Amino acid sequence: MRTAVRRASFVLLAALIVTPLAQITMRGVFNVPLAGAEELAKYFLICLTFLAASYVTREGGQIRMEEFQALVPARPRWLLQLAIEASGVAVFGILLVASVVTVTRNLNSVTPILEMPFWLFFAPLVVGSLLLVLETLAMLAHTWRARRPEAKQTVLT
Amino acid sequence: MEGFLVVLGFLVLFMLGFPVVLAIAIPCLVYIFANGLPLDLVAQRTLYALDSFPLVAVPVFLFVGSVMNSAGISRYIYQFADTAVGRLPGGLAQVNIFGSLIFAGMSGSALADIGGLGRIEIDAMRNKGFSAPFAAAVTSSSAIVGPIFPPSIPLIIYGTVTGVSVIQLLLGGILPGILCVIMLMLMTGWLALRRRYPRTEHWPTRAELWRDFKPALPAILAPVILIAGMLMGFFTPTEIASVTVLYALLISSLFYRELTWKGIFDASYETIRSSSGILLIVAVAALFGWILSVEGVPQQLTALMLRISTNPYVLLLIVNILLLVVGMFLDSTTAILVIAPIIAKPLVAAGVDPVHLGMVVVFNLMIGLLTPPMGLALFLVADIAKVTMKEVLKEMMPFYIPLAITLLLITYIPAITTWIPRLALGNP
Repeated sequence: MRTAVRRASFVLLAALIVTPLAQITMRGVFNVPLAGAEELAKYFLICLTFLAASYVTREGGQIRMEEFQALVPARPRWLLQLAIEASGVAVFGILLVASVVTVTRNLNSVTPILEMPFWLFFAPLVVGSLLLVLETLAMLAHTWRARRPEAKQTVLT
Repeated sequence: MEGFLVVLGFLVLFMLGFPVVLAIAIPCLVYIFANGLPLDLVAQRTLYALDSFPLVAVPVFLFVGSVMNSAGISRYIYQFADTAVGRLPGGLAQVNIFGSLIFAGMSGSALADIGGLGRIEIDAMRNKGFSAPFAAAVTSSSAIVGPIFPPSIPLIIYGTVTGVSVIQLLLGGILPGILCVIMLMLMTGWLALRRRYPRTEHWPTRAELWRDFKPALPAILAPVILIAGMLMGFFTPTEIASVTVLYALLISSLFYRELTWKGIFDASYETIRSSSGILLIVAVAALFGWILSVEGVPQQLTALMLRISTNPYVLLLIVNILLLVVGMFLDSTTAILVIAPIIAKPLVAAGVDPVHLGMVVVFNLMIGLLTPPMGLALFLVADIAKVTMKEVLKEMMPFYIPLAITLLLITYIPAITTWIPRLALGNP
């Protein structure tokens, strides 16, 4: 699953770069602007952000400041880390429910130019938040089993 | 009042070490549940925040920075900078700053500069006897030139949010970027003379300069080609990002010949990690911004400041103070999305040029990358240099002076920003 997410993210990044280039080429060389190219590029951006979010979380790419935690003794720090991961599961769970609710209430809507069905437009948020819940749950289980705090939870500090 | 509680909640959670995404989302969700607002709001605000064409440039420009590092372009830039300015007092520290200016011509991101060129520069400076915290401070302070000198991700976002011409904004960044580099080099020279830092033993000969200039030329030419393409109407500012990738890949494969498939994959995964992390914050920050707007928090703060004066110079001073504080707590993209639309109207109405205001806003927020608690550039550079935030901050202190002077010059001499756009667009 994780490998699939990584590969899908790579394809999405490539699509994100190629779509505006295709638009420039079609407009500049053939004088035929690609209708919906902008909407497609934006959609790839949405897909990339939400699908890759679980990969980012697992790789420690979530931005945070750990200076305060470093001052806290091991036991309370472990509890704090558990609380952070549990709240992550809750927040991404709410996001998942919210996105499913939104899709079910707008099943007949479509996007303006490409006329993409609303469920497809919102699918990255549904799938992304589900993956985030699973990845954060795995992290929570790992921290629980370790019985001690992680030295670092992000690669950015 | 509830709006201020949401801000307070964010600050407390952030200080406790919650990821920014959760620190923003938790108080927002509490607000939504407490006020009985529909759940659709959460999903719609979060998703539609990314339904923006200018934001497409964010991962693409990050990719350019990563490709430049993978393809060895950063190394050639560093080599040329070393030959050109290595003899100045401060030696490699000056090389670090000058190299950032050249790197800025292709990458619109400070973090890409730190992650690539910065890594090379910090290692080289340590090997020459510079302290790691000083190397980290020089690297992070000079990296903010990246988002000032064109191309620039924050300026593109600012233009989109406020409706100001992105082309004018990008052209407006040329002189402020150069001015910032000069100020940082002056401070570095002064520190180097006091601390007796090493430098290259002789000035380069014309042959040496030409030898190292040639490999760096494709990178140096990038901003010229991109700006010319924009002015001639070949592509829009957001499309520049994709064109820059194409250019970087072309010169990497045809000229430098160091880019491998592994390098492309590594650059891609690094880009995915950085951009998804940043854009997820942008998505959640939209909910945060919406709550603040509904509660009238920015409006109240702005109104409070505007009550003090209607003089544009006084207002700009107030904006500087406001943005410096905001930049300490919010990342630049979020801050632009939340603050810019609110402060732009009253200031432009008071007679401030919109392009000039855009530069003041973005420069302020770039300084925010270097100020705790939310100094992303500090986080990254501390990690690369393997030093603590405290050590970097101590060495950063002198560098806040040239940055503040540059900010004041940009703020009170609008021509520094507006001269080139007016000249280029036929309105000198």
